[in-house]
Amino acid sequence: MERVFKYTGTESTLEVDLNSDSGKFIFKGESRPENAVTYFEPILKWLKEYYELSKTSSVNVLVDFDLEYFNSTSYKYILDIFKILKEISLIENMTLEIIWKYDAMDLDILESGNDFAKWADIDVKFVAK
Amino acid sequence: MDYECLTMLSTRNYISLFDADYKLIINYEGVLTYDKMNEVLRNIKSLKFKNKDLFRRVYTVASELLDNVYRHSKPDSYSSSFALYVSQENYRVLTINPVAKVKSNVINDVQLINSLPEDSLKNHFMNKINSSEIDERGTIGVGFDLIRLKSKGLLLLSSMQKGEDEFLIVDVKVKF
Repeated sequence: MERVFKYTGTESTLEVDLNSDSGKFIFKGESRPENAVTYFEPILKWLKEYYELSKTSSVNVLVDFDLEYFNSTSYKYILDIFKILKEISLIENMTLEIIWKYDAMDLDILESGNDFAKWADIDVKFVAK
Repeated sequence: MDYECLTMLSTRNYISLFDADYKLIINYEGVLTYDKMNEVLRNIKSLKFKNKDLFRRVYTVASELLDNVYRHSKPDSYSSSFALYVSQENYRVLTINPVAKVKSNVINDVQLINSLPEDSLKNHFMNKINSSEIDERGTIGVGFDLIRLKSKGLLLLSSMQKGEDEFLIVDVKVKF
């Protein structure tokens, strides 16, 4: 697998920066891609490969979500990302922390973060911007 | 599309049938491309809202409705319409687009969505998100659920027949 996975953000797609060396994963911006399948599937593939790799050589992982808006199809994929993160967090000796940033005036994003945490059954630290 | 049909199906004429108290803020009529969708959403971002929550709800409803028009309009067909109105009490988002046929399962789904209280609808939505697969159009069919959740109002769905062509009209009020 590639050690680093990157998407440059646009007005309708997220900035994504996944680094297997540092264990820092960043998802930032707005998500309503024209083709959600071709946009999100490579992200899921990379995370699944990272999960396999982490079984033998784990580092601590910090996941930073700083989302402005995501549409209903992205909702599905972000939940899939959370489910893989849950699997990674269950690896022995693995420490994984998820930070979910939200605008204190925009409780919608906070509510969505709570939904993902609940449905993936994983702890999330909520941080008001 | 002939002029008579365009006139009948414009969002302005549609809303004039129901309420004269709405002020038009954004209107688009034409074949909806992805770039045009981005432009309409940029225009919404440039508007002033009372608070961020209201902006977020209007933006979500508009984004989902535009996506619905973009993905489900009958290909190589007539123009679609999008309009955003405001009154003293709410915003109103309207779309009119040509479809091959308004499917009965869509009507049934909207009836169910409209009938559910908020807590049940949230569970309904998350269950679909959790268990549904992406279809060939790249969606999972939860846009109307999300629209109802964010608008906190009912989804009004209707259709209009013009010759052999059918048009879907979706009308959503977003309460202040």
